[in-house]
Amino acid sequence: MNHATQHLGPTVVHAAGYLWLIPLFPAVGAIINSLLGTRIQRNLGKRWNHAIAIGMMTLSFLTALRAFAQMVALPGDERFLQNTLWNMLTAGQMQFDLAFALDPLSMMMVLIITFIGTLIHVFSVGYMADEPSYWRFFAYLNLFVFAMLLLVMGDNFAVMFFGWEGVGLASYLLISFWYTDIEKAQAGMKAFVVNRFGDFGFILGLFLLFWSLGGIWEPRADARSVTYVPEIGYKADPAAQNPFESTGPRAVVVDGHAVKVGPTLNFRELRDQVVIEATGVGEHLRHQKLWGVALLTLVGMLMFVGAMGKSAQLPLYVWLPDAMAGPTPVSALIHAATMVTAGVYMVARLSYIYAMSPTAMGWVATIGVLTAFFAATIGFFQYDIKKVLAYSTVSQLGIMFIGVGVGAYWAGTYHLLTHAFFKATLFLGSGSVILGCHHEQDMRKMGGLKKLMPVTAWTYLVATWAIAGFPWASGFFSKDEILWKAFTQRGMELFGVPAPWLGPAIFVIGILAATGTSFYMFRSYYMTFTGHYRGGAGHDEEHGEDPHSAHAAPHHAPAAAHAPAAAHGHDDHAAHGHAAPAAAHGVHAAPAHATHAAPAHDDHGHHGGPPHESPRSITWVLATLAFGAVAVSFLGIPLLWTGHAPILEHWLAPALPAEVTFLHFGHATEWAFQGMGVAAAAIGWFFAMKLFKDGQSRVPHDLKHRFFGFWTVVYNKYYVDEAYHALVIRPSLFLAAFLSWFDQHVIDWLVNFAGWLARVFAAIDDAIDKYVVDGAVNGVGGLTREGGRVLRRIETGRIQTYLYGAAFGSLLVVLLNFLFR
Amino acid sequence: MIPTLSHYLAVAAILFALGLFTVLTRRNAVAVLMGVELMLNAANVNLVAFNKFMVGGLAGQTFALFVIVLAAAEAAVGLAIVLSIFHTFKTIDVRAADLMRE
Repeated sequence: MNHATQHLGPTVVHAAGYLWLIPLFPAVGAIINSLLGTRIQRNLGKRWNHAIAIGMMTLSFLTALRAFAQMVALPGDERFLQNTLWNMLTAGQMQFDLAFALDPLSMMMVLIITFIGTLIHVFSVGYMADEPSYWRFFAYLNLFVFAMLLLVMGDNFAVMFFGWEGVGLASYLLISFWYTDIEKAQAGMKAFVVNRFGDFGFILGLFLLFWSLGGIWEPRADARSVTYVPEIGYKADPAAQNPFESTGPRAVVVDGHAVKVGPTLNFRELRDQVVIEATGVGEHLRHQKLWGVALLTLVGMLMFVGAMGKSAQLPLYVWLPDAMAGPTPVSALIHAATMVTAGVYMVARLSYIYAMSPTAMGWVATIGVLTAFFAATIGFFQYDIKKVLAYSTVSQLGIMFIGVGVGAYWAGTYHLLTHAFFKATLFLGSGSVILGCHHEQDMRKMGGLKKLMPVTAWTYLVATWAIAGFPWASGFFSKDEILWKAFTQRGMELFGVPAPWLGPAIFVIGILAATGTSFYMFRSYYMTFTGHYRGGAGHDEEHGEDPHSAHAAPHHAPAAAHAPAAAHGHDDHAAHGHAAPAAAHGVHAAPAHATHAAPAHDDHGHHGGPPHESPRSITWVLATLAFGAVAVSFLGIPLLWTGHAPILEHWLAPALPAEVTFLHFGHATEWAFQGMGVAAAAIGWFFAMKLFKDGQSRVPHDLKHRFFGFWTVVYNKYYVDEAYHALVIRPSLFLAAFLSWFDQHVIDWLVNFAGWLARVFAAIDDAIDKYVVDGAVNGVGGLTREGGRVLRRIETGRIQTYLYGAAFGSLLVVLLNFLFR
Repeated sequence: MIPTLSHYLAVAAILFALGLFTVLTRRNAVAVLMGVELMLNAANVNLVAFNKFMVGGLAGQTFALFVIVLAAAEAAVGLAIVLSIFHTFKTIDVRAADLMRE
């Protein structure tokens, strides 16, 4: 099971000039639908909106398949397609292009995104049929896919980061899609703000990595060995003590290939210089320290903070359950299958960085397992079917991070793949149920749907098997591999302290989380699909007992606020002739409708009445995804069973050049561990069946009352939201209030005082101006005027007067001439 | 008594003074013009006298002739102006023509 030490050479690049088309198509779809969507919807009908969106997705998927075909034809270690469009920025040593690249890892991601994305677009046609701003939904959805493709296809950190932020934006837009509902709008903002915290860490890690590559390191004697011959000069340039001032591209020649060495944002250049030993970069990085901490550890941990936000890990997971406010296809696509796995993708992409720092590995794996366990327990007692799935997603993402944390990069990535399928199936199944039950999300109002919605029930069951980890569905293969690798990993460190016990501990907690996962998933299955339909049966007794806070059941709160809409709901029900059950039902259904155009529902007739199977566009997608959830098993059938490395491991190997060592155990041990995995799933299934099948057992009810305090804490999600409110939001509001007070009283006083002072000086200046300066000016003016008034008398305008003057003047001259001769 | 230069000069001076007096005191524009003529002729007397007693030749007499021609032209222009003043002010009183003062 050990990664064989392979000879790692420079990446061989194959040009593929069409790669840019893959993200382009969804971008075009988004642009068309956002600019012309209203007109298309009004003039041509909704079918053109989704035709454009789905058409673009299909084109994108076909282009991705084309790339896949090209990649498969290449030799295993040359599978790297690259497409540079243009240079975007060159600033000193930092330069990056708008460029796309596909290696086996991103190829897998692109196929997941475009394939599942296309299916979810198709699903949305049925699910969003009544939505007035239909075009907006598809525009956002295409925008999301575009951003996600940028994220995974970016050839450098910059393009990846554009995508990273772009998916955040699309996620925000889609969570608060029904923005007239304040709670949904707030959920979108929450997601956005929480992600900013993570992105901050990510950027810091990125800068640190860039900086560390540009640093001029102390030349170490042993690094200048025979194999290390700098061609242009990867040596300490004494003139350039500041890494930002060191000059020019530097390259080392390895096996006749020039490998660029130095600061870079490009993944390939980063990989080559770090992975190829002859460059000496990896060796240097390994020994770099910053503030006494290994630099790579800091880089890894900071970047993982970004993953915490994006992939909803402790403690930044809080936004994901709230993100369920968005339409269900969004939850499936963004908040289960693709965007939230961006963090896992990022860690796998940088596997060679993480593998060099045992502390970063331990950090990732520990956070992952804690999240997996923590979120699984919250899932136990949720009643909202989407909330169950949301916590399940958080938990499964934790499992993925265990995988990429302990160094089983391919297994973590494989779990990403299987999870994309089974969780998309589960979410879309829940969407189908919600649609069938007239926008009811409370599982206590469901039950017995198996007979009414057979396709939905079966696909949900298959996906539940997959997530629980039964060996006839995909989840088993990925989860088992991850937990086994965790158990055999003894090289991790916890904050610099070697912790060989960490791997086994992660295994134990992980297997508990897996049991819990199996339990709550089968609980949701049994509550939803077996027993009798409880919707409208007035099964309200538990309501009064719920010690829920405002968060616990948000869909109850708006009932009063939407009274007119509720009344409207009643009318509809009456018209359908289901007045009796609808009376109770309508109160709960109406708020969900009220926000998105209740009247439109009548057109399709799925309003009121018993639940019904969803339209074909939905069941077809469910069946395809459920099939996929089983089919992807074949990509990961373990070495133990066949004697061959799993197909996906083989496929991903060139993209995951990290070298991690695992302990070796005998076959018997491994079989035993696989048995433990299955047993965990079976135990969860057994208890869920006993307690929840057909809704007959009173045991859950009794247990709830027995441990009511514990139940309350877990039901309210350990009050984490409240804790955030008390520890983060309240202090920041307090700080804001204090600053506001400070501003108003201190700063304003200072400003006012300065203003007063200025006014005093101005008054003095005014007086000087008025009496001294103006006095002088007016004095001069007055003198001139008075003089003029006197002198103007002389100017009579009569020629004779002047002649008198001239005559007497002449006479005077003559007289003077005589007198003073 | 043989008249000497001084006699001529005295006559010219009296003539000039009378002209000046006329120009200064008369309110009638035509009379003022007549005063000007007196002063010009006083100058003519001086020119001729100085020519006869001091210089000789014809230059003085010629110059006097030119002055007479000039005086005729001046009278023509002056009378035209006076006429214009009369048109404007309905009088030829020189006190009326004080528009330039304002």
